[in-house]
Amino acid sequence: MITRKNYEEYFLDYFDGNLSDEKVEELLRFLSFNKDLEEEFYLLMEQTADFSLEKSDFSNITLKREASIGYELSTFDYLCVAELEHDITASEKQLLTASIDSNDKLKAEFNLFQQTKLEDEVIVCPFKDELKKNVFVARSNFQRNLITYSSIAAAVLVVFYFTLNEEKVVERLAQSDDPKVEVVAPQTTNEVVKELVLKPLVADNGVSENRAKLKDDVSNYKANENSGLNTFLDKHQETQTEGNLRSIEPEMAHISSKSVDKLDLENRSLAISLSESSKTSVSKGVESNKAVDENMKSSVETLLSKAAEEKEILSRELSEATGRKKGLFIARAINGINSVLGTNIEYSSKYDADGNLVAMNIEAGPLKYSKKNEGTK
Amino acid sequence: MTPTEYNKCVDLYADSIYRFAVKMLKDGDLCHDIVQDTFEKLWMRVGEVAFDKAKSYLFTTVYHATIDHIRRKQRIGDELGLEKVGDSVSMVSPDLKEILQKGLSLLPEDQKSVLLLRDYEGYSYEEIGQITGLNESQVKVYIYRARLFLKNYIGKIENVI
Repeated sequence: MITRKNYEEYFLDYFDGNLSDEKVEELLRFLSFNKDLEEEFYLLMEQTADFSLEKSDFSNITLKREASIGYELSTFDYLCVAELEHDITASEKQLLTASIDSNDKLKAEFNLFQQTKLEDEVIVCPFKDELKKNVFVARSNFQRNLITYSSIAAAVLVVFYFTLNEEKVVERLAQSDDPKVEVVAPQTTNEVVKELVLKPLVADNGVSENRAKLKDDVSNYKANENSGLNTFLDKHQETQTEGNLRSIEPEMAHISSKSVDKLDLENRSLAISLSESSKTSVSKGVESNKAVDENMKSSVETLLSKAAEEKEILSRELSEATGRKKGLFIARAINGINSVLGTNIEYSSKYDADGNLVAMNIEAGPLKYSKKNEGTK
Repeated sequence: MTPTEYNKCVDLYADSIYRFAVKMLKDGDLCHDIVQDTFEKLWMRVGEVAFDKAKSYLFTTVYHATIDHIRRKQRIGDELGLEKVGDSVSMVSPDLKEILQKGLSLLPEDQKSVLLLRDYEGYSYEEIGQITGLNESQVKVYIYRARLFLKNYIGKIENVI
C-alpha cells in the first residue's frame, strides 16, 4: 500500500525498473490523488531520464508503460499516435476504441490525429543531372591483357607484311594514277633499288637497241655529206625539194622540242631515225634535181648538230645505267637478307660510266663501312 | 558501390534528398548547395559505401548538414523564415495540406526531421535513430510530440475557420 510516508521507496523502485505492472498502476493512481507528489514525481523523472519529458506528454485518461524509456507514456494522445504509427497492441486498440465510442470529443481528437499524417508530395530535384558523374567502363585484367597482346601481334604482322612486300608496295605506289600520291624515294638501299628498277631498266631496254642504229644513221649521213651533198642537191627537182622541206620542218620542230629525259630516249631515237630516213630521201631527191636549196642545207646542218648532241647525251646516260646496273645485284641481295632475317642493312653505291665502282657505303646497326675509288675507308 | 551505382543512387534518391532539404530549410539556393555537398561526399566515398546503404548515408549526411545550418543560424539570431503560430491563422480558406505544411514548418528541427523521415521515407524508428543519432525512444517521443503539435495546430485553425 502506497502512502505519503513510503512513496519515495516506490519512486526509486520505479526508476530502477523494479516495480511490477500492478505496482505501477497503483503508483499512478496514488499520484492522481496527490498532485503535489505527482509534480515531484515528474520533476524527479526529468532529472533521471535520458531526455526530458513534459507533463503535457501524459494524461489521466489512459495509462501505458513504456519499458524501453523507463517511465510512463500512457495517454489517450499516445494511443492515437500509436494507432497512427501502427504501433499499438490489441489491448490498447480495444481501450482506444472504447474511449472513442464513449466520447465524441475524444473521437474528434482521434480524427485530428489521423490528419497529421503527411501525404506523399512529389518534389523533383531540378539539378539531378549535375549530380551525376561521367562513368567509364572498367575493364578486367584479362580484357586489358587481351587488348595489349592483340595490338602487339597486329603491329608485328604489319611490320612483317611491309618488310616482305616492300618492293611490291613501293612499286604499286609509284605506278598509282592518283595524282595526290607522291612516292618519295627513301634515303636507304631502297633508293638504289628503286632507281634501278623503275628508271634505268626502261632506258636500258629502249636505248641499247637504238644506239647502234643511231650511230649508223649519223655515220651514213656524214659520209653522204662528205661525198658531195651539193651534187645531190643539184639533181633534185625544185618541186620535190619544197615538198620535202615541208616534211622535214615538223620533224625538226619535233626534234628541237625533245627533252633530255632519258625515259624519252626511245621516242627521240625513233624521231631521229625518221629524220635520217627523210634526209636520205632528200638526198636522193637532190641527186635527181640540180637546184640547190641553201636553206635546206642550213636546216640539215642544224639537224646534224642536234643529233650529235643527242647522241652524246644518250651515250653518257647509257654508260651510267650500265655502271649502276652492276650494283643492282648487291642491292637486291641485301634487301632480300633484310626481308628474310629482319635485319636493317643499308647499302648504297655509285659507279662511273665505265662501270667502275666510285663509292660504296654499307651500314648494319652501329657498324658502318664506306669506300671511295681512292681506296680510303 | 561502383560509379555506375552512384549514378543510379542519384536517379533514385536525389528527389527525396532534395525534398527533405527543402522541407527543412525552405531556401532553394541553400538546398542546392547542401544536396550537392551531400552527393559529393557520397562520391568521395563511393568505394566504401555499399549500394544498399547509400540511402541511409545520404539522409544521414543531409540531416546533419541541415541541422548544423539551422543551429548555426539560430546562434546568430536568424529567424530562418519560420513563421510564428499566430501568423499562420491569417490564411483564407486554406486546405488541410497547406495547413499541415504550415504546421510542419513551425516544428522544431528535431521533430520535423524525424516526422519527414517517418512519413515521406517510411523509415522505422530504428532506422531514423541510425540516421539522426537518436535512440529509438527519443525518436518515438519526437514523433509523438510532432503529431500532438500538428493535431493542436490543425484543430486551432479549424476552430478559427
